[in-house]
Amino acid sequence: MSVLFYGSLLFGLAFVLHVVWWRIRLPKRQIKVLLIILFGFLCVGSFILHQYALKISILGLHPPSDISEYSQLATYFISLILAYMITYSAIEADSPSLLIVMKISDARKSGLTKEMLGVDMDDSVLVEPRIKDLLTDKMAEMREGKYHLTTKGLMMALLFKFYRDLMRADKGG
Amino acid sequence: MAEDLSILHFAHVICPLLGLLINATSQVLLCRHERGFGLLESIFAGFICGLIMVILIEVAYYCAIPSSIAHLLGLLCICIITYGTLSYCYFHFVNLGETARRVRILRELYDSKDGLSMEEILNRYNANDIIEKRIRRLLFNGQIILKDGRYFPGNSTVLLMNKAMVIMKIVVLGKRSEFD
Repeated sequence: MSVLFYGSLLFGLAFVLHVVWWRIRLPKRQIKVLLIILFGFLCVGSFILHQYALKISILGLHPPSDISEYSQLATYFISLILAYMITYSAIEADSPSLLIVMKISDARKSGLTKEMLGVDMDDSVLVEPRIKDLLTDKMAEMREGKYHLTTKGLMMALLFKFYRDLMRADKGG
Repeated sequence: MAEDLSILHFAHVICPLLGLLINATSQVLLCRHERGFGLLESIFAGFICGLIMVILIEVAYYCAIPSSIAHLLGLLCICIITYGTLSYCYFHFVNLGETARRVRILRELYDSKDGLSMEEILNRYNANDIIEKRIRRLLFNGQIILKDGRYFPGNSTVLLMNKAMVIMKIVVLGKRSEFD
């Protein structure tokens, strides 16, 4: 239980710092800064818990005591980091599906036609910001008026292509 | 003997990872199955297969090193939460390949060795395609309903998810949308 408690506590503290930071000033490379905060809390937090294990006791629970428990805590914490990073991509950018559902829900009983749904959702809203994201995250670069994949972008494209092929699925999107 | 036991203690670290491996393997196999499992069906079935593996490993650990039921439940609890979180990541990874616009644009760039201009990207993938695909998907899953040429709200699950996401956006970013 101490692994669950201290793992959740560390993650909760990291989350609070992230929210405060974001509300003061939004970093340009959000994902990178977020990863530094979360992994920083895991490393520094685990070190502090290990160093002061005998002095720390919250709700009668002492911090993890051996390497197997710290490994378990790291696995738990990293799984939370991954889950939050994936959720964060939906926080960072508006999902078209959610926008459509919200629009239809706002229209209530009168409903919406396909043309009405398309209003305010053109290429400048749905496609161009995502291309800009690829440039910001250094997955693509502009050369002679054309967009090209960087090595990082190529690795990502190959990963998803491999997986989609494995599932015999189309290009998606 | 003490060394054997300490190796055995790492079972709790390996357990959720092994569960995830079983989850992903069974999901891909079901997706490739000739009978044609749907994506959501295969993800759900994969999750159950992995969960069974996690529980079996923990029960086997309990049989090898008997301790109190409370201790077993504590270990089972953290293993299931970790496994659930990893499965959530896997679900989103599969979903990213299915729906993410960035991934689709990466694929288009990958398929064009000489690169693509903005115009060429928009010829291959544009707002109309995105809306069409999503409407089809939402109709198929019953999340919206088509009646007399107009779309109406369907089941409320996706609306609740949407509301939760808006709350998260307000908490983290202080705004409801990236365009606010």
